Amino acid sequence: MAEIPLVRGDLDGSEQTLSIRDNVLRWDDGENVKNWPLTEVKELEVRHYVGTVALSAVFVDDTELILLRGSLGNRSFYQDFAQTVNAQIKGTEAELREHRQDRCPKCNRLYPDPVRPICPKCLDKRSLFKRVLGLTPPYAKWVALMVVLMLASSAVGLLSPYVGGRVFFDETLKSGGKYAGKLGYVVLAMFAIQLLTLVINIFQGRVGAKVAAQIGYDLKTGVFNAMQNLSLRFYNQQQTGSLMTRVNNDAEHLQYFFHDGLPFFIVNALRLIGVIIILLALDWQLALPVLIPVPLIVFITVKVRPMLWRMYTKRWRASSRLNAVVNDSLSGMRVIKAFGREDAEIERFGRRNRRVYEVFREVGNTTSTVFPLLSYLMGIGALVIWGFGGWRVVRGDLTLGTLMTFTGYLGMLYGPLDFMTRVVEWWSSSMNSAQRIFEIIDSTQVLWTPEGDELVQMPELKGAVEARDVSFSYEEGKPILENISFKVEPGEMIGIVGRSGAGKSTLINLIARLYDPDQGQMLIDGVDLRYVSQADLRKQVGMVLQDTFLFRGTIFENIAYAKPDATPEEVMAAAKVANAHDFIIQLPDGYETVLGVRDVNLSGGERQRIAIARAVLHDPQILILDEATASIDIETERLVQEALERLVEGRTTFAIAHRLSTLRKANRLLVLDKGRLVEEGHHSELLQQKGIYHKLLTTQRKGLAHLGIDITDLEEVV
Amino acid sequence: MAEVNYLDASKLRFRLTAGGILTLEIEDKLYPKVDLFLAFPFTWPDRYISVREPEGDEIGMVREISDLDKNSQEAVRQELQWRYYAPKITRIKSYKEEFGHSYWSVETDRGPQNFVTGRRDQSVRSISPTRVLLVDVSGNRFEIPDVRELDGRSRYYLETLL
Repeated sequence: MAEIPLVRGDLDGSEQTLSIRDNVLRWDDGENVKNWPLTEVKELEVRHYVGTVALSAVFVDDTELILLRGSLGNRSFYQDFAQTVNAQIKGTEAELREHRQDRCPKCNRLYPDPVRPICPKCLDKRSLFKRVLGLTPPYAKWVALMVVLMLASSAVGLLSPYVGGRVFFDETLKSGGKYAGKLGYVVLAMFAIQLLTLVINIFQGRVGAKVAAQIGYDLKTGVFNAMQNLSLRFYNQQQTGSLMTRVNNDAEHLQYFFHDGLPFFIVNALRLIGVIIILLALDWQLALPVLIPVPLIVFITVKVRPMLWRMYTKRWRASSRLNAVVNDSLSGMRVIKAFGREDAEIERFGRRNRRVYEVFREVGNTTSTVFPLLSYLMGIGALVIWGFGGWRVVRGDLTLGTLMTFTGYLGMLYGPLDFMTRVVEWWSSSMNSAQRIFEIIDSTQVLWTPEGDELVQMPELKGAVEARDVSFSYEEGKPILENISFKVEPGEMIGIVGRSGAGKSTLINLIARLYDPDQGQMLIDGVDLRYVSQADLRKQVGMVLQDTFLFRGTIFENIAYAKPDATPEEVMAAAKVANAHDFIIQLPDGYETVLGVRDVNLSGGERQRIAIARAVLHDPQILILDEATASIDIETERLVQEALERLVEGRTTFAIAHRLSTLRKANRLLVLDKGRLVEEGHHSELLQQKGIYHKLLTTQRKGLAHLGIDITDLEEVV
Repeated sequence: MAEVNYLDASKLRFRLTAGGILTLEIEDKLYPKVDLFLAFPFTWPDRYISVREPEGDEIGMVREISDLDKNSQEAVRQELQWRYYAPKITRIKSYKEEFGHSYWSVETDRGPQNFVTGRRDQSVRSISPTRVLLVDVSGNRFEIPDVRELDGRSRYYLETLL
């Protein structure tokens, strides 16, 4: 049997450890050691608190002792330890999960995400870059063209001060110069150079735009496709907002990497090197004083930039807070008016607005000091040239043309310099975007799929469903379902009952295989769900959910969602069964009414019936129903109820039931409480048992009576 | 029940067992294991305490800790301290934003700590304009009771986050 790693208590600098060997539990805090043979222990328990987690032992005499207290990072370690030891006490052997590290073994840095052992520092940025470049082969020709154009652009750019300075002043304007008397040609040549620069730049921009847009397009498609294949579990861990950022912002960020970043970098680097070489070659004595302010300028930009960045962050934050107030107010205007809180809102806005004003002033003050200062420093470089160079021109050992050329090149020196100071920042943010994108594309959180022969095709289901000792949790340490087992015959109608949070929705998610259980098996017609072909499964398991989701599109399209090739007659037939036909027909646009736009306000009951029609058309062998809790008027209730009864006919049905009528009609009820299956049987049996079901029902009835609704009356109407 | 059941503090006896388990005795009834929950953990850390059985059923609420007898107060404070464990940051030694995460090294009233926080909106919570709660990627909490009392360097680190 594998050895179980020890667990630690780590609060307030404490150093306790708990380990197990040869059926003895051993506690050690460095000074004292305590041993308990497992025969004295009943079970280990993990206690979850707001800011800590504790591991305690319950002994056979029912006393309990808290053994370790730790920070929340220990949650899964304690959980695993307790689970394994408990299994050992019971005499069964639990599966040992692979133990995770919380620090990067290379640089000892804490992993930012405890569930995902990726150290952003040690992640190989170079291989990441290679992979980013690896996106380019389909456009290799274009990238090559882009590079050629960039080289041309740099070369021509370097040519123009030379022609504008030396050639113009020394060779053309001076009598005896090479091009003396050919002023027209020289100006024409300068004109040609400018035209060439223009043409090259336009071309380069267009090629760059094409490559970048193409890469952006491919990246977005890749990410979106990958997202469609990910398991729902992935979406529980990620914020929808941050996922949207990934699809859009990160992809765009990377797109700019190719469009602006990379070309800019190459062009600027070439220019910078070119300018410095030319300056030194032209006249090194003059070049050196020009280069003196360079380190100072670099120093200041490097120093000032973080400061400015902080200010911009503050400004951005202040602005977005202001926006939040406006957003809040506008969307809550009815409530504000109803409670007469206009003044409070004005004050709230005023406070934030004041902050925005302050931050904007701060930014303005700084930028209007720093940037002029920088250009002043650059101006000093020019002054040095004018002074020192001018003096030498007067003395006659420097030509006017060389002087003019120098000033021309000086202008080209500081631009690239500014860019180069930002290179590191730009590079690492691009690579971070790349990493986030690849993370989704590479994500392994897809539902496990069998390979080859293991895949079971089940074009025809009978509809028998079985759960064998199923456990599930969304988050480690917080089990939602524990050891659920049941068996359902084809065509049976099963009601799932329990308080909110008891695990009802999770159970139906497992039946539909939106998730796989952590432990145990879900079986359909005796086959483990994981081995059943997804396509077959989706075709034969249908869901009607409480929060009816209708897509943007016509009613026809929405009903035909699961069967896009349905004929109009099939769709209408389904709507008729769902009691939806009559109200749809009376809409001005009938089945072609577009949903998801403002003007169409379908009531909750109507939306439900469209969802039912969708399920009728889908015609699944196994049906999953999540009954709406929202009360609707009695007539609509009757229509929905009737539609559901028709739908349920002849299918294995799991219904999260709230209505008494559904509960009565169900062949069997599964009663869940805190993730466990506590009662099972027919409505009347369970009522007689006077257990949890009885309690649930009576409280519900009391609650309704309190609101003035008598559930027995409603029952008779329905 | 539609009303909050406030317990008569004079009848309550909270004790910690040798094993560290909180028990409650109300007159003659003994609850061998109870959990405490604060209704307003930030504003009133010693008021409005919900006392619950391990299954979650509420026994009742205690209005104020100071109404309890001395021993009970001690037991309750001890239990709350573990449940709402949040070291108070006295100094930020270093703070670094890198790769989309923030790496903190701080001095707290419970010794030095290193932790990593994720996105700002999930990890920095302003309880009041001067009081801040930091939540790291595992969910551990760190409190800054008053930003103004930190030294300049620490405030500098915090400035862009607030």
